[in-house]
Amino acid sequence: MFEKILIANRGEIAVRINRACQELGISTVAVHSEADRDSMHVRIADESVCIGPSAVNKSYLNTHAIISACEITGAQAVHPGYGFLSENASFAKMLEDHKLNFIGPKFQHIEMMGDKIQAKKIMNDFGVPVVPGSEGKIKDVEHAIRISNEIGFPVLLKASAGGGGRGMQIVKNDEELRKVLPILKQEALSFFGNSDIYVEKFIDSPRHIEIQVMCDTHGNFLHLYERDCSVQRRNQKVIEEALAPDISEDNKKKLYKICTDAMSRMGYLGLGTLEFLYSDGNFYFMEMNTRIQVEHPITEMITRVDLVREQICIAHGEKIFTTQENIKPLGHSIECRINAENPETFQPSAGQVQMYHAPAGNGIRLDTFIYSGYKVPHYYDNLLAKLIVTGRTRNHAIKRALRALNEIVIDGIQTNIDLHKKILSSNDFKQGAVPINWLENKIDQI
Amino acid sequence: MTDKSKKNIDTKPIKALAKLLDELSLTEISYSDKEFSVSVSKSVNVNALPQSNISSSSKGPVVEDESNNDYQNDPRAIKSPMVGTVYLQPEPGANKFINVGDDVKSGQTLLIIEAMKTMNPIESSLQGKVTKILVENEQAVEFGQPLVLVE
Repeated sequence: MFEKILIANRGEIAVRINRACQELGISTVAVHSEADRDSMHVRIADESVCIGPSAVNKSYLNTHAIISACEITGAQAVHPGYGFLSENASFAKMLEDHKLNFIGPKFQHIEMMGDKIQAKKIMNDFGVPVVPGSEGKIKDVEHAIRISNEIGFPVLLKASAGGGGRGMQIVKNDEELRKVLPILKQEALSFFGNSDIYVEKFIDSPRHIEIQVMCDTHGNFLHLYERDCSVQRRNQKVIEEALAPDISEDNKKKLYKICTDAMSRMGYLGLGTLEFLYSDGNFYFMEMNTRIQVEHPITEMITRVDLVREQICIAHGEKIFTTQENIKPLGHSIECRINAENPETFQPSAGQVQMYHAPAGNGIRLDTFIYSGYKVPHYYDNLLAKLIVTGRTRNHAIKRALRALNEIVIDGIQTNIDLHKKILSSNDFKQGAVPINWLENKIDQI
Repeated sequence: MTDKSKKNIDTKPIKALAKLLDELSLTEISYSDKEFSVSVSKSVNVNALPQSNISSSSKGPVVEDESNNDYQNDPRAIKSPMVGTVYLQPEPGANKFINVGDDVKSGQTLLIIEAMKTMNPIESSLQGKVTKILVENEQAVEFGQPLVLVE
């Protein structure tokens, strides 16, 4: 097994990875910016290296500093977490060139799936159902207008190098398309470094259903069922649950098989998530994330598989410890993303946590990095904690989540805890199967 | 249940003390005179998290010395702009770039940091006399680590 792993991330996921390493007897190296000197991931790691100033591009995206940190500490592998360099194929290749192990998929697959247009094409070839669209980047405005009229407005203009809900815009007709396209191209170039745009049919009120896959070097391509991530605001997930309510077992089974077959044909390695839109009984492939996801804990709770641990073992060339037949889902799990944000404006809000008290009891898991007195820096994303609640049934999980949200205390900064209480108490959520535009439409009424 | 009608507690001084407590980041403040005394305190959350143990890496000496923490904000400190390994001389066997007591000019090379197989000369941003060299030859350093004191 690896003796030492460097964790190229921060916040709650760095703590999560630390824990998996410690349970495997692996030494850990935390890298951090100057602003994160007192962060929990630094405090619990065996060693730490400051890799740069607060700015992300000079620290957590600083590939040279991270590789240098591996060199001076003797780390053999790097776990990139999510975000930052986790889907950076050049970084994965760079590590390989330096004889370091990247805990994740092969860099070729990261590259393949990072190009959203190419990913769709490849999945389509593998028989995975996809959203009807331009099947490639649009050449010019006229091309876009032709395609859009063929598949029918409204359509979604999407940046090929985007993803994670960013770089997309709906247009309802030719005129809007003409106006929006050049602006979107410009934005795509500045945010993602690539101005390629593709067109997709806009699917009205779909749900977001994603399949977790896990593959090793011994020919095992497994799935760990699905997650329903439809409670979103501005394309950012707020609440996720496993398993997805109100979808037939048959339909789900077909999708699991399609996904594992595609992974087998790809020769994929490690963890991945295939994201789909679900509408009118149909699944449409959107994109694949070639990394561990924020919401991975809900899958862990219902399958009792430690996904980060498996990532590390798989990266070390080990066979997955179990078989598909032995991964049986039990119970229902819900995750609430607790963010530091102003409840009215939803603006991120930094500050000092004056008092922190975690909820506890049956079925409660809190993945976080905050502690009483911790100063939340403003340079990074505002996720403070993930509250993961598991119950025997969906209703039980909802009641338990509300109980836990009443117990949790985070004083000194503003959070979206009240929003979570409202969502979980609403009749719509209790009924289940809300679409991805539900929260934004109903937020004032719940 | 206490009978609130019998006592009239003057909350003004208590409120004033509580406000002072916050403003001055104190944990306890008391006031007393001939007729009256009051004490206001805030409970302190003792952070029970263990301090991270910076253990020696297999490659060499410790990454972080206690002495370096003292010079983090010292204006005399030349700090490392990168992660890597320090060399005090241009090549093995050669003389060190600088010694304690030397006069150095702004832009003068003080030492080399090796990072990812490249040698990077680290120049002084200050003019003056080298009063302390805070790192050893072949020591691993992190970003922002104080290397040399020049005054």
